[in-house]
Amino acid sequence: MRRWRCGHRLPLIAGLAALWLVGSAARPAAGATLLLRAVTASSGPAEVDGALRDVEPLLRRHLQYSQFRLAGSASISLPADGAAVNVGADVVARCHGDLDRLVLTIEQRGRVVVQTQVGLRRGVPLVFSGLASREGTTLIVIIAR
Amino acid sequence: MKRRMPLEALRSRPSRMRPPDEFWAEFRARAADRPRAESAFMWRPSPLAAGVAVALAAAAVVALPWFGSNARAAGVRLDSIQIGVPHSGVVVVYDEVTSGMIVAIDGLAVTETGR
Repeated sequence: MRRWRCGHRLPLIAGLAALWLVGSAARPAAGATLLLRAVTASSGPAEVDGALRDVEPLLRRHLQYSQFRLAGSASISLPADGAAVNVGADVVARCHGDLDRLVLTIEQRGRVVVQTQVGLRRGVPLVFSGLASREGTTLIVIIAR
Repeated sequence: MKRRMPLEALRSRPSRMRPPDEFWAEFRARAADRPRAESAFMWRPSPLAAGVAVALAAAAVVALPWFGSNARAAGVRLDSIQIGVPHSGVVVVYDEVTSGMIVAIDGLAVTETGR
């Protein structure tokens, strides 16, 4: 009898643990930090900045460039209030909102290049490619931590 | 089926409350004398298997919205985008491996640098 009661408890505990795990993953990321990196991409001998190792496979898979150099970076704590941050490569970014609904404005040399609303998840990169650069192009790599 | 008890047994009152240990010792001793019935086979789910099943069911219920209309909700979700400068096109690439997204704006660099 006692053993059978334990048998009832285990599924309950396992179910609660699963709920907790899934629930914590589904929760909007409180206290997330948005890392924005300006990357100069160009052709030539293959070369990737060490600070871009986490997104190197993604960039190599989809972009025709072989050199990726970090031009600058900035971090924004979420939820963001729309304050401007200088990312580098003449790029200024403004973020408003939280990970699940983030309004992002990218300006370059005082002109709004991109304004977008996105939903992000921790560790999943969003890359804007094709911004002006003296050599090649400028990428903006955004990833939430 | 009616059972008859001797009147003496009905009239007799216990002189004192027996201590529990004594009662259970006697109970066990009497039970040991009686033949035991063969335990009938009854299927019982393994607690581990039941636990896994409950966990999967709970996870499926909680994660149901993720697998609904927007199958790419696990990665980046692009709600809207506006390009504020002259350009020739926009290509949105969804990366299956990382669930990440590349928004490639074509013709922008050419326009900006005048090449």
